[in-house]
This record gives sequence, structure tokens and C-alpha cells, in this order.
Amino acid sequence: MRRVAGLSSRQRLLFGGAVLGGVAIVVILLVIVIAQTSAADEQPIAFNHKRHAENGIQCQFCHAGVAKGPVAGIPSVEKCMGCHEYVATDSPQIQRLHGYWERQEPIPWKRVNEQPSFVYFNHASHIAAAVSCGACHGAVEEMTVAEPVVNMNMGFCLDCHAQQENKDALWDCAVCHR
Amino acid sequence: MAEEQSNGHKWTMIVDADKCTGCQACVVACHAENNVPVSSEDEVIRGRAMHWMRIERYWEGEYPNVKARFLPVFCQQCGNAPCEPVCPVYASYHSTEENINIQVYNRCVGTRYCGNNCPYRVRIFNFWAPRFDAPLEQQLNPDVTVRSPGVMEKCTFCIQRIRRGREQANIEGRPLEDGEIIPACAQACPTDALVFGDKWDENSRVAQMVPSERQFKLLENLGTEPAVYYLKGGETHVGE
Amino acid sequence: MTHLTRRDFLKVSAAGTATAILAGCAQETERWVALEPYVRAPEEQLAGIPNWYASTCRMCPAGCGIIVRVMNGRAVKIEGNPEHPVNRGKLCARGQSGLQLLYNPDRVTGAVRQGERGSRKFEPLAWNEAINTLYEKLDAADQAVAIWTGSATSGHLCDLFARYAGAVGAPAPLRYDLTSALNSVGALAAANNALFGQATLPGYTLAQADVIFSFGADFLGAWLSATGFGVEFGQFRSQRFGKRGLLVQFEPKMSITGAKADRWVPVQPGAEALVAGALLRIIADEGFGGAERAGLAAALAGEVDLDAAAAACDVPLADLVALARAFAEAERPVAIPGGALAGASNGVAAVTAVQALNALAGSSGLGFTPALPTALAAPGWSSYAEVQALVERMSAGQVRLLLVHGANPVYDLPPGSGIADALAQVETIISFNPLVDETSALADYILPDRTYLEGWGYEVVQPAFRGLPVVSSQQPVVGPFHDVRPTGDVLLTAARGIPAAAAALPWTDEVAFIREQITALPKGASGGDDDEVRWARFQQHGGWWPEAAPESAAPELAAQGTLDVAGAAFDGEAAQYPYYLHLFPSVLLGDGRGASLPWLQGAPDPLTTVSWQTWVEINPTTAQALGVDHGDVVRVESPHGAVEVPVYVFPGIRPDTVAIPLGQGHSDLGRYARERGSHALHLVGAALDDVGANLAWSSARVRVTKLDKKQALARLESTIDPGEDIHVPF
Repeated sequence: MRRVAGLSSRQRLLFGGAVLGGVAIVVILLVIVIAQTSAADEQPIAFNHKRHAENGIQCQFCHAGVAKGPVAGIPSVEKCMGCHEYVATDSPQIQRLHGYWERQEPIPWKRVNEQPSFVYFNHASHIAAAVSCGACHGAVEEMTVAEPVVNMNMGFCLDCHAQQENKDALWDCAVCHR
Repeated sequence: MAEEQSNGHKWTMIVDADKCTGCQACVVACHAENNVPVSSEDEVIRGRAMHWMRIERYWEGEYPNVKARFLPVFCQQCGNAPCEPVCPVYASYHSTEENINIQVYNRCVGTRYCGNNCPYRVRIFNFWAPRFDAPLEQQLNPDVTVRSPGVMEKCTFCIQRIRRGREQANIEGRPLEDGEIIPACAQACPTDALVFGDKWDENSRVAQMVPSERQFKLLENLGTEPAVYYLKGGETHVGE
Repeated sequence: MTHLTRRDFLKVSAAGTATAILAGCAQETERWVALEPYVRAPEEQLAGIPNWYASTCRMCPAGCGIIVRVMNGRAVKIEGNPEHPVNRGKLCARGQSGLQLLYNPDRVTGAVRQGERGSRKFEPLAWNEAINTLYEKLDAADQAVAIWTGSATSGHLCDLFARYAGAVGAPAPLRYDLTSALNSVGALAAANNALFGQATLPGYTLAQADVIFSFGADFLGAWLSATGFGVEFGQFRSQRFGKRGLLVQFEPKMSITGAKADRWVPVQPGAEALVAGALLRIIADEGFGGAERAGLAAALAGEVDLDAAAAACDVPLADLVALARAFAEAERPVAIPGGALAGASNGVAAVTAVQALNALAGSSGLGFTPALPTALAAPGWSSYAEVQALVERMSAGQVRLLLVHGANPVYDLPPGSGIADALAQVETIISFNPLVDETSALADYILPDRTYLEGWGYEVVQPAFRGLPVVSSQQPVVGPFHDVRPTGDVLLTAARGIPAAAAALPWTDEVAFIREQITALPKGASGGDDDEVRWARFQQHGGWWPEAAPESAAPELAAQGTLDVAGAAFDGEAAQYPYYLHLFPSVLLGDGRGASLPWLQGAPDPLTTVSWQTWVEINPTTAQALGVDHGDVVRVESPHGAVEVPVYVFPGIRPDTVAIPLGQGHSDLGRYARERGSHALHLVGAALDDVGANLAWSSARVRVTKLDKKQALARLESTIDPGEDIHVPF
């Protein structure tokens, strides 16, 4: 879905307008698209955030870039194998992981949290401002399957920016759009 | 929109026309940094060449006493920008934090009013979808949007570098240093004809260079209050 | 199906129309490249945070230091290395464009065989088969192997090729291409040898100069080491000594250096030696600059017809006198010879006459690259006479195997050289070039080398700046993008089977060889007490150079006697061919390799603002006499060939001269270069210069005929003329 979701707003408007005339097509595709975009049960490996959090693994252990740069990062297969070469090797999910490792293939994770186009978000700035991961991602440590808890649209961002001490600076378009 | 010194930074570029050799290093650096597509020969002939900055060349005099002058021109980041009030959707927006002019691409609906009202002709319209023959797209800068057809675009003083520099300083809990943020053009320029910085930081290189006797601004009489200051080229006469 | 947000709805709309109605029109515009998680993450890499690697630019032979911004394994931006003594953090347009060589859509993606030469039908070849083929051909050819290298060949590869040739008893590899011809390295070395006993390229300290006289050298554009000279020029103009400095440019067609000059003197092609001699004569006669300088000028200057010199410059004699005085009375004057005058039939004499001006002020602005503390040295350039010798050997069937790396002889030589016929007589041709260029199209095998952003190497910099000897480092900044192999490794592997070569090339791979060369150097500016640390610092800082420049005295004049100021001879009768042909390398496309890179094709030429095309520059009065205007196509014909190009009416050129940029007119070299513009080298004969060693590439006369054709010029400058329809670009 990434390819289609990546259309510009202008194209969306154009296409959106055109499609209003073609309701039938919309209805058919609606089913397909919604089925494809819901995050549950379609990850290549049913990764369980809750289980890992219970074992005392901090977010940053896997999402190592979160305090250092814009992108939190998805761990490499090698990092997973660091533990799972020996841990829970009899689980069918872990055997899938071993399959990727043996084939030396990256795991094609599906994106869970959708950031709108034309927006540049910096994780590290938010960590530096003491925003907790949960503020945007919810209680991931309670989730067996990670799911978005908020709609990461402009309103959501600005609601929070407006409450900050330097809210004027954080209200500037160039903070996110470039 | 009025600019207040209490807010943020006043990003400023100094262009020393005495040093500009017209070599195009800045132009290509800008293409590389800002994902600016290359226009084909036909598009150039139709006057649709796509560059965020250009080096204007002026001829003076006639053979054999002929001279050529170079003047790099890019968005002047006007303090009082003619492109801003004409935009019906507020896509051409004055940043109160960086005190430059921002184009918000996802607001733009392509009326092109801003381009018509810009006296410097530095806004470019995307007539076509950008094309990068595979695998040239591997080079694209992930920090900058690839603009879609139907929107206006222009020089941003490399806003992605400004923001990255500021965010990094913020993360490290220190003030910004002069010279830490350099747009791609100034970074490339062999002769140092382009100098960039915060004019409101009185110790910055630009703040010290602005009062030069050689200083002038493009179409100053229009009251656009550009943030780009030019230093006039000189001439040494034989025997001086 | 729980709830449907507006965003989801828009997504659906887009999907619906994109697939059902406007299939094919939809473009992914915002996320062209997706982040992909690693299987094994490189230790130093975090998503979203760039890594910077130091390396060396190979887009021309200047040896500038670069740092490359790498985001998750993709090279996204090249910048100048701020520590590097040559370019000091700056980088020219060509250097910036190296990324488009790396990601060029027309790269040869693996080893290939071409059944029939010129068919451009390539069959893929497994690398072990390719290396075995190279071994078999080398073994069979024995001493009848010829190696042709050029500007794009890394220093370490030149050294490896040289060792191979030496070991099997073959002639030393040739290092020659259009860049070396246009830089006139042969004439410069010959003149420096005659004057100062140093057969090498000169370096100039412009930052310290107060007066610069440049004769034809476009040192800010495309000559020798333009970025390094650009940095120096910026400092020259910074009024560091309370003076702005005086730059005078003598050339028949204004270059960008001429545009920056305080005085542009349009000297007639071939008369540069006369003018330089006249300046010396005037200084001697008038006693300018004190007894010592005038005395030296008198010793060098022969009999010179001053009026003829002034006439050749289109200036009154009084102006020449004023210029001579300004030069002689300057504190640190510099004279620079280069460009077309060095390619004239009196090239070496002209360069010598100009270079001699430096001697007046003790040659304070002139320097030669200091030798390195080890045997490591910059590979020498070959002369055109050596090229001719090889062409003759090939034509006589004495060359069974030709290896070509980093040069493109078919494009780089005028057709009169006989290169095409000579290649036909060579049993096997193997090219190592990354794109199918004109020479690779005639090769039997292409074993593509890695591009410089993917491969290892070093470059011994010449000319040096600030008196610092530099070995610039080259390391892979990204993994190889295609199935290409480093030529050094390919050669070392193939040579293992050849007993004579195996002993001379004992290294397991090219990195072992490079490391051995580098760790032999003493501790440099980046420090490091043991080999391991020095080797790491060499890569980290972009090369090796000493902390301070070694002590060196200004070059001393070794020559005796007066200078030869005779004019140049030209091909073609003046009656039949009334105009001098002035060829110049494009600031952007260089010697033509830039033509395959869209950024360089699309960037406007600085003086004409034309992109994508070849044009001929004609003075307005000449254009009027010929009845031509912008965009009228003319036929430019010399005794050796003809091209058809559109006219650009150019105010900064002599009326008796027409100028054409080089770089276009490729029959190969990928989609951006192919069948575009003209290659004006086809107008040039294959005559040698006054010392019988260098190609006199600037010695043709031409005639210009108007054709009944128009070609709109792709120029950026305003095309609004009074009376014309207004052409609004929005």
C-alpha cells in the first residue's frame, strides 16, 4: 500500500474528486484497501511487544536511534538473533525469524504508525524534550500486537505543541514541513 | 508579517559578486541537496528550466572592452515578501521562527500567483512529475520532499539543514554556533562568494559583513526587504 | 471494517483512480526510497543519521578531497573535505556530480563479452570466466600487451599496471586522455624543464599574489585544479594585503577566468609568446621594477616588434606598457600559461615565454610539488608522440592485447590519429570503464571496475597547494552497486598465473598493496605511531600530508639565452579558412566524461547559459557579416573535418576567431550523452607542436557557412528581445 498511500495531497484531491463519480469502484476497493491497511495479524512475524517488555527490555534496546536522530529504527535480524539463537527456539514465530536469518533476508515489517507525507518528524528532539514514547505510541508494553493508538495528523501534533512553553516556535510550519 | 528580533533567527546570505566565478558548483550542489529534477533540453528551450538558483550573466561594453558579470540569484527570502499575500491557500508562508519564506508544498494548489508576483523570478512551477531514471533515485536526499507536479517550489536556504542543525544543538543542550549551518550552495562555493548565517547574532560573519560599503540588495526600491545582501564587484585599474 | 477516517477515504480514492482510471499516471512522489531494515546492521550506522566518509574525487585528475554523506547505505551528497590541502572543503560542479556516475542508469552491471565489435550486443560473463579470459589473453600476448590509462585511473592502479608491464617486459602503460591534452601537461612539463630543470606540472600560490597575468589558462573553470585555484582566487580577492589585486587575462575568447579579470586582453591565437616577449622587452627597455628585474628581463627578451604585439592584442601600445609596468612593479606577481596557447604549434615556446615572466620576481608565486619521503610518486603523463608510437605498433599488428582503463581513446583523439583503424588491428581489446563509451563499444570484453565511490585507491596530488605533498585516500563509501570487480584485484588474480608477473605482484589484493604503500610513509599531519593507526587515519582524514610544508626555495632559472617569440602556424590558408578555431573544455562537461551525468548536462554554461548542446561562439560583428544570429545553424569546416552547430553571438571573442566547447558529440556513453551536440575535436589534425611531442590541438583555421536551418538554443538567460513575443517562464 505504500506506493498508493504516497500520493501527494494535490493528487489526492484530484483523484478524490474524480472518484466521487465512480462510487462503484470505490466500494469494491474499499474492502481490499481496508483489509490491507489494518495492522493486526499481517506482520511477517507476530512480534509480541508485551512479552519483551515483561522481560525488562527497554524500548531503546531495539529502537536504538530514538534518542540520537530523527528515526527510531527497526532492529536488524542480527539483533533479534542475538537472543533468539537460543531463546524460545521451538516457537513457530521464532522459527520464522530463523528462516529470515538463514536466508539472510531483511524482515519485511509492515509500518504500524503512519506519518503523513510532507512531514519530517525527529524522535530525538521529542525525547530531549522529555516526551515519553507512550505519548504518541500508547502503552506498547501492554500490546501483544502493536497498533496505532492515535491518528498522527497535524491536529494531534499541534495540540501538544500548543501546550509547550515555546509554543510560538513550535507553531512554525518549517518545524515539520520542508 | 513583521519580523521581531525576539523570535528565532534571521537567516541571511551574503553574495560577494567580486568573488563569484560563475562556475555552477552551487547550482549543482543545490540540485543534489534539494532533489531538484533536471529539465530536458526541450523544457529549457520553452523557458521551463528547473533550478532553485541561477547565475545571471550580464555583458557590459563592447569588444574589445567587454566585461561579463556574474550574479547568483535565488529566493531572496524577503522580509516583506510579495509572494505571501497573494497565495489563496497560505502555502507561501513567512516563518516567524526562521524569518524566511517557506513554501508548504502540501498546501499548494498551483495557482502560480506567487510566481507571478515575485519580482526575482525564483519560484518554479512543477509542470511535470519529476523523473529520476532508475537507479538515480538512490541519490535523493531523504530529508527533503520530492515535489509533485502542480506545485510551486523554490530555494529554502536549505531549511532541512537549518532544522537539523537547530535540532542537534537542542538535543545536545547548547546554543547554535556561527558557521554550523551552511546551505549546500555556500558549502560548495570554491571562492567563498556565498556566506550564510544569522544576522541577529551580532558576532556572526554575516552580521559583520552586512555594513560593507559595497553592499546592495536586488530591486531594493520595491521594499521587499530581502535577506540576501550582495557585495558589488570591484575593479582594479592597471597602475593602481 | 471498523471505522473509516477521512485519510483512509482519500487513500481509497487514490487507489481507486490510480488503478482503475488513470493507470500509469500515478507517481509516488514523496517516498522514492523506502527505509529497509538490515539483516546485519553495520556497527556505525543508525537509521536516519548520516555517516560521512572521506575519499578522493576522480571526476578530473586534480585529486580533491571529498566527504560523502551516506544514509543507510546510499550515497546522497558529496562535499569537499575541509581538511584537505587541495580544495579545503570546497567542491566544483563536476565533483558534486560523481553520485550520478555511481547511480548512472547506463552503467555496465557486470562483466560482458561483445561478439562483434561495435555491435553493442553484450553477453554477460561470469567473473571467474572473465578473469580467466584476462589471464589467458595476458599469457598469450606476453610482451605484446599495451595498457592505456587516463584521468579516471586511480594512482594505485597506474602503479600496479606499471609493475605488471615492467615484469613481463612490455612497454610502460600509457597515461593519456583528452583532459591531459587540454591541460597541456606535456607543454607545461617541457617548458618547466627548459626554464627550471623541473619536468613537472607547476603550482601557483595565487592567495599571496598581488598581480596575476594569466595567458589562456582558465584556472577558475576547467584547467588543471580549478577548485584549488578557486579557493586561492577567493583569498586573492579578499584584500588580505589591503589590495584587491589585479588579474589580467590574455586570451582570444573570454573564459570565466577572463570574466573575473580586471582587464581582458583579446590576444590573437598563436601570438601569446610574442606578447609575453613584448612585456619582457618593455620592462627591460623602460627599466620597470628596478635594475634587477629589468636586467633579468633584458637577458630573456630578444628582439620583439612591440607594435606587432600590441596589434595582436587589439590594444594600443601604451596599454601594453602600462601592463608591463604593473607586472614589473608588483610585489608578488604571478604569470600562468595554459589552455589553447599551449596547444598551438608553438605551444612549448609560448608556455616558456609566459612562465619566464615569473622569474622576474624570483618565481615567488610558482612552486613545484615536493617529492614524497618514499618512492611513491604521481604517475607521469604520456606525450602525444608516445600515443602515436602505440598507434603505429597497433596498426602494425604488434599489439595483441590492449587494456583500457579510465581513458576513452576513440573520443579523446582526433580522427586523423588513426586510432580507429589501429584498434581494428588489435587481437583483443579489454575495457575496464564503468559505462559503454566509444572505446568500450569497440572492445571484445568489458570488465567494469568499481566507480571511485565504491573502490579503493590513492592519488599522489599534482600540482600541490601551499607546498604540501599530498597522497589523497580513496575508500569505498558504499557497497558495490552492481556486480563489478575492482580492476586491481582482477589484475592481481590474473597475473598470478603468469610466472614473471606473479613475483612482481605478490599482493593478495589491491588493498594489501595500497596499505603497504601508505604505511611506509612517516607520520603525517593526522598522526598515528603504528601502521594500524596510520592506515586508519589515512582513510579517516582523507589522505596523508605532512604537518608543515617542507622547506623549499623558489625555483631558480636554469635557462640561458633569449626566448623564442615566433608566432604559431595554422592548418588551412587564411583565404580559404578565414577564422581561427578556439576549442575549450566545457566548465561542466570537462573533457566529455561529464556528458553522461544529467546534472552537468542540465547546468547552464556560465557565460552563454546554454545547457545540453554544442554551440559556436561568434563575435557580433562577424555574425553580422555572416548574416547569422542566435540559433542559426552554421557549418564550421576546417581542412580536417566539419561540424554543424547553432550560433551563439558572443561579445567576448575576437572577430577573427570562433570558439566551440568540447564535451558533447558522443556516439556512446549512455542515454544522456549519446547523439547530442558535436565533437569539435574532429576539426583538428594530428600535427605535433614545436618540440615534436605534444598534439597541436589548437592549430586549425576554419570557414563558417550559414545553413538554412535553425536550432533553438537551450539557454537560461532571458530570451525576451524587443519586438519578440514575450516568453514568460511561468
